[in-house]
Amino acid sequence: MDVIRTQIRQFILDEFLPGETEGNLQDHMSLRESGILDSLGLLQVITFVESRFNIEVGPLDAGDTNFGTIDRVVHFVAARL
Amino acid sequence: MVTAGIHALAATFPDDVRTNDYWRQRYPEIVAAEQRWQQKKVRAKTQGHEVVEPGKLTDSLLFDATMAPYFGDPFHGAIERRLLRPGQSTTAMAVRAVREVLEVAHLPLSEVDLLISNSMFPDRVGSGDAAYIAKELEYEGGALNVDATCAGGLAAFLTGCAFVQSGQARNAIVVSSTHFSRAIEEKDPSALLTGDGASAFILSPVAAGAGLLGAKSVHTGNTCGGWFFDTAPDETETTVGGRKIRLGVTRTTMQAIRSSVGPYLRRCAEGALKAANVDLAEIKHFAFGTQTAWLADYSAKILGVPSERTLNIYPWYGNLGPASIMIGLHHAAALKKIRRGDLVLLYIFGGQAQASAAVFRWGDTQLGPLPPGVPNDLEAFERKGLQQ
Repeated sequence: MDVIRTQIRQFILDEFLPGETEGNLQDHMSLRESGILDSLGLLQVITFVESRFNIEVGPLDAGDTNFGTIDRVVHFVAARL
Repeated sequence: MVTAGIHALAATFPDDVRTNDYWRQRYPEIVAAEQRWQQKKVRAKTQGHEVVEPGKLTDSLLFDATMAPYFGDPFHGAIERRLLRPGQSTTAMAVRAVREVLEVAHLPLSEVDLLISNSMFPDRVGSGDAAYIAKELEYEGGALNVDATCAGGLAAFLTGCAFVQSGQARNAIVVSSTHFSRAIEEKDPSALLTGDGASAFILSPVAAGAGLLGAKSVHTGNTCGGWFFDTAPDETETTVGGRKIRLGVTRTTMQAIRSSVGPYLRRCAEGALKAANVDLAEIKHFAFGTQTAWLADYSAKILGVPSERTLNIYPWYGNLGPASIMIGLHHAAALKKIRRGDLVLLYIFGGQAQASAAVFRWGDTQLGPLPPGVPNDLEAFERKGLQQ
């Protein structure tokens, strides 16, 4: 899971928070409420996890339950590997 | 054996054309979003994209690839759209469409036994427009409403065909109307992507081997929850009771579309072709729902057919919801992409409803005109999509 977490964190930092200090991105932080991910950003994260980890995200898997925080995304991906 | 064919087909639009400048002038954040998108396009050209390994290109990743040119564009590829004004109702637009198709068909209303209305959204909460349209026309046959969200136009088509094929209706008029401008608030990002319009068509008996040859529908229940509907005060003063149906998207809407359209298309197309006893290679034109700028291209790639055999009306009108399928068919015929005897496959996905495909042999269909401002030259029509 550490590998998954590292890759997801790096993707979000590179795509949405260029120049941000890594320690400021917290894994339990709401990606939506913090403004890090809008709807299109969420789609980018979904595309990233699908192509990087070779999993499929179902039609209604994209809500906060699975993609609300980095912790949740990591658990979602890990459960499908 | 009798089948149902399209005797006449009309596409009717509101008079007002709204270009993207309308939002650029009023909402500076949209201008900023466009600039960020343009900069991203330039960077993407120089940096390239992560390439998906062959064999790992899923339907969803293919969706991303066809969406890529529009990703970040606040207009998603829409250049303009036609909108009803406050005070202009869905019913009035539908009545106009029906009158236009009757005129083109030279068919008296007395020979029509059924009127089907599909409307997104009707002028009242809780019941559709069919009887109101019928009353306005002083028509005396049966009238019913069909709803299948964005697949409603094709669902209404299939329902009308069934009535004609069974002999319950000598002729059926179907009108599919989309009135998104009332249902979506102007500041909602979806307002930039949507438009209003209606298609009306007359279904009549034709000899076996012509008209509707086969169809397949599947429900899209696993997308339930991807959109939400509620009611809101109606400032346009065109609804009964002063309340309108309001449509909104959720954070899961695009994922619901992205992960569903391709698989449903495969199932429905395969089923419709089998029912029609026709091979994919025999299809001359593919009339796909164009709820996004890239759906026609994406759908063609899913089926492995050339995009040249589709028509994308999205740049001209935005997302036309349930009316898009038959308006697209109308335009394809008006622009000479379809001729008598050609086989056509229609497909559209309706979220939280059903997806449907139908195989149809084009006959001697009388066509209403293209709307003012839309060229009757195919190349000029398709050039619109290159304007972004």
